[in-house]
This record gives sequence, structure tokens and C-alpha cells, in this order.
Amino acid sequence: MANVMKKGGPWALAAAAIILALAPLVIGAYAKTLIFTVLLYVGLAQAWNLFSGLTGYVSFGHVLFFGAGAYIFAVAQTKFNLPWGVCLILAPIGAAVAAWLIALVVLPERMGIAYFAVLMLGLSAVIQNLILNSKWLGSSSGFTLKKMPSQLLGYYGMLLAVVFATALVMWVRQSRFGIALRALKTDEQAAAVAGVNCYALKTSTFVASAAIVGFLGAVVGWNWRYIDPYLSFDLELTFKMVLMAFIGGVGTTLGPIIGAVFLSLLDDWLSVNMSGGHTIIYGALVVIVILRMPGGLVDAANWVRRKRKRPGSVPVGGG
Amino acid sequence: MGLADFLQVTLFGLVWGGVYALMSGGLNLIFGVMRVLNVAHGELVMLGAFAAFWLFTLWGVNPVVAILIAGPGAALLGVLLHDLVAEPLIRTSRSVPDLERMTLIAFFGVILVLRDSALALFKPQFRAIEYLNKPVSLGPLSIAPSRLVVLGVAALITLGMFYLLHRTTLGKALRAVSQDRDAARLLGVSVRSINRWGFAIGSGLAGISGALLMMIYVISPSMGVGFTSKAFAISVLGRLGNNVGALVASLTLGLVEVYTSLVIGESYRDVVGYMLLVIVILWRFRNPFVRARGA
Repeated sequence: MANVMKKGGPWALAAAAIILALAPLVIGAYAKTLIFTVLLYVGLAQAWNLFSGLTGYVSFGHVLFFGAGAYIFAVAQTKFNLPWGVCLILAPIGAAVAAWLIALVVLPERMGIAYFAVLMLGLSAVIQNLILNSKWLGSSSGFTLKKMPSQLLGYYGMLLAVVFATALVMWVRQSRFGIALRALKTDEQAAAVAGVNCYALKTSTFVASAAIVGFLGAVVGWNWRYIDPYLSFDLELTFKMVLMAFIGGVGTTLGPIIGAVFLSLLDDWLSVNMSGGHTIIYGALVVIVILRMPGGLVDAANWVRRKRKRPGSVPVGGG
Repeated sequence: MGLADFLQVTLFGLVWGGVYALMSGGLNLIFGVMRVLNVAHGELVMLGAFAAFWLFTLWGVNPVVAILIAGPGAALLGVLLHDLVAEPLIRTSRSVPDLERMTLIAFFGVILVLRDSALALFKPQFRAIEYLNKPVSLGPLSIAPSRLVVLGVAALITLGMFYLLHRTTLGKALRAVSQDRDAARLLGVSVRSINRWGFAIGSGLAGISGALLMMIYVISPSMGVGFTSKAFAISVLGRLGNNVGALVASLTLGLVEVYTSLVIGESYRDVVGYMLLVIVILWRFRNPFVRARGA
């Protein structure tokens, strides 16, 4: 599948975008809601993948940017009465600035992956708690937002973010930055010695990833018309990004899409056929994927193909 | 606020510090021996707490006796996690960052499995027990006997751990492997079996700390992540792999927490652990005078 992505990737992406853009004209309400949810998760997983998948720094706190986007949108709309277009632009900018500030402090040196993951988790918990204790930011009761001019706006906003994130990952992976990132992920010290500007790479992917997640946060909050610290800084959302990216195939273009579509459809199916406890299955699934096929579902497809082509060849993790 | 209040709160802080010492001691041992961060550590704490809770509620088993079941039970689960998750990953991983990443995600999956199984079985509500919680006077102080029991048991087990690590062959092997696994292997230590022992003892300590904190605090199936973060913060603060440092850091977190809830307010209590986590990680990595070695 990797070769297909290299040659036909942009075309496939454009075709998918056009089909999805035309879809609301023909499909029903249930399908529209389902696609909206799937798109949200594809966008989140892909944005997470843009930083964590490509650099290898697993972030357990990406919901921080989701919440930041939602809150910036809400504050701009309800406190300053700004038009929605401006609010939608401010949200990703704010999230990007937040990410840049974090990057300034955190990313200059190589940090143990476990340390970085837990640090991000801690940061998102701290910010959530600060908002819970802030009167001006609505404490635990949050904000009620104005109505969207049209529900389609949310849908197209989401689609835009998904296409943008996917195109970005696709472009970065085939550019010279992709090679530098692969070196960074494998051995940061060696990459730095070889002349890769690790700090710039980490910061730029981190900021771009945060901006996309922040934009999604704003769109989702607006769509719900209500946000509070529990919904917007829900740890489960970070967990879902991690799960989807890893189950689909972390660090690839197609992996997070497959993972997000697979898990959100599974979620939809399970919520009809099973009461609660879905995440037990997801948890078990990610453990099995890590142990048995670290390249994810994408690599399973590659693995089958390679086996058919060259019997006896050894599969190597997703690249 | 008088001196008596201050002493009272300090005593509470020390009780929590004792619980944290066991919890972070367990995490520290696993990290020291295997260089693997078990992010599901808090889930073992949660399971230990629920084991003791149900033993007490359903069969009236004394919580102190319940430790004898919660501890070994968690240790057994730890062995299972080592054999099924950690060991295969150590065998197949290609580099250190690769291993760090893989174990992080695998244990993250374990979090979901354990936490959500507990959620499905026990429902999400908070629970607490009534056990020796009628305060007794101790000079100017008044304290629930359950807290004294917790402090006593935690102190005993901490002392026992120091004895184990410094005076027994197993303890020396554990320390040897955490200091230099290749040298330990050359000297005839079976690193694989020591890894398993480390995981068993570390997880057992998590189970025991859960059973203890059940006596003095409310428990719920989703409490694990918060305690993992606190235990990790303590380990980083006390230098991972350093036992005395971890003990001092545990008591520090216990005291800082109670003073925060006394001075600023109860709603800030839980965030203190997370703030400490953020600060100590940044301090370790961004302080030019404290270079982290191979972390």
C-alpha cells in the first residue's frame, strides 16, 4: 500500500475529498452524523500522527490543544462577540501559540519518551484544573455557544481539517523533512550529528499538529453549542487519538485514517450491540497490535502482499 | 490556624507520604530494573484498593489482613504483565526509543483493559468504607486510628523493602541489574528472572498501597491515572532508581498536598500532583546543572 500512496496518494485524497464534499447532498441525517464523527476522529488521529507518529514522541496530552481551541472559540464568541469566521481563525492560532510555548521549554533537548508522554498528560490535567477553578472561564459550568448558521458549516470545517492534516502528513513524508524525521525518530543524537535540525523539526510538527487539533476543538465545540472543562479536556479523547493511530499504523499516511475509521465504526456498532465496556476491546486490540504487528493494520496489508511476492521475507515495522 | 492544626495536617501528610512511598517505590523498582515505565501502575493500585474494599464489605475481612491478599494478587498480575507484555517487547524491540514507545503504548492498552473491566464490574461511583474512623485524641491532635494503621503498615513495609534490597541476595541482584544489566549478566545474574521479580514486587507494592489508601480515601475505577502520575512525579523528583530520594520525595508530595488543601483550597489538592509532575520533569531536563543520564 505504501507504493500506491506514493504515486496515487494525492489523487486518492482529492477524490475522497470531493466525494465527501458532495456526500451531504445525498445522504440522510444518520449517515451525516456518523460521517461527522468519523471525520473528527480521522482529523484528530492524523493530527496526532503528524507530530507523535513522525517524531516518535508519544503525546498523552493532545486533548490540551483540543480544549484550548474550543475555549478560545467560546471566549472570542461570547466574551468579545467576534464574528464566527474570526473565532474559527483565532482557535488554531491560539492552540499553535500554546504548542510553541510548550515546545520552547520542552523540546530543545532529547527527552525520554515516557517523560514526554507523562509530561503532556500532566499539562493537560493542570490546564483543565485551572479552568475549573477560574470564574472568568466559566469554571465547571462552561459556555453555551451561539447557533451555527448551518450544520453544513461544521461538516465542511471538519472535512477541511482532515484533508489538510492528511495532505500535510503526505507531503512531509515524501519531502526531505520526512527523511530527516525518520532519522530523528530512530536516533535523535545521530540525526543531530548528521546535521538534522531536530529542534526545528520537532517544534514545527508539534505546532502544526496543535493548530489542527485546536481548529477541530473549535468546530466540535461550536457544533455541540456547549463546552465545559470535562468535555473539552476529556482524557479519553487523547487516548482515542493514540489508539487509532497505533491500531491503524503509526507514522504512515494511511494508518491513522484506517485506524480512525475502523475504531469509530466499531464503536458505532458496539454501542448498538453491547452496553459499555467497549474500551476493554480497544485496549486489548492495541496490546495485540503492538505485540504482533507493530506496523498496525496498514502493515498487515503490506505484510500479506510481501509474503505473496517474496515468500520467506521478514516483515519490518511500518516506515 | 494554630500550631495544633498545623501538626494535625502534617500528620495527615505523613500518612499520605507513606502510601505514596509504597506506590512510587513499586514504580521505581520496575523502572530501575527494566527501564520500562509501567503506566498501568495506577490500575494495579486501583485493583488492590477494590480487592480490599470487597473483602471488607462482603466478608468483613480486616483491611490489614486484606493486604495479604491484595499484595500477592497484584504481584501475580504483575508477573503476568511481565511475561505477556513487557518481556516479548524487550526481546523484539530494535532500539531504546523503540522499546520506550512500544512499552508505553502496550501498557496504555493495559490501562484501558483493567480500568474499563473495573468500570463494567464495579460501576463508576466513588466508594469508601467505615473502618476505625472515629477520631482519638493524641495529646493536642485528634486522628482517626485508621490513619495510624496506614502509617504504621506503610512504615513497616518500607523498612522491609530496604532490608530486602540491601541485605538479601535477591535485593542485591535487583540493584545490580538496575545499575548495570550487562555487568550483572556477566556476573551470573539471570536478568530475565530478576526482571520478573522486579515486576512482581513492584506490582505487589502497588496493590498494597491501594489496599492502604482504601482505608482513608474514596476509591473509584478511574482513579489509576492520577496515581500513576503522582508516583511518576515522585520517582522523577527522587531520581529514578534512588530509594532514599524516592522516600523523601513521597513525604514531600504528601505534605505539599495537605498544605495546599489547607491554605489554598481542597479543589486544588489533586492538581498539585500534576503540577509537581510538570515541574520536576522540566527541572530534570531543562536545568543545565542537572543533566539527566540516558533517561
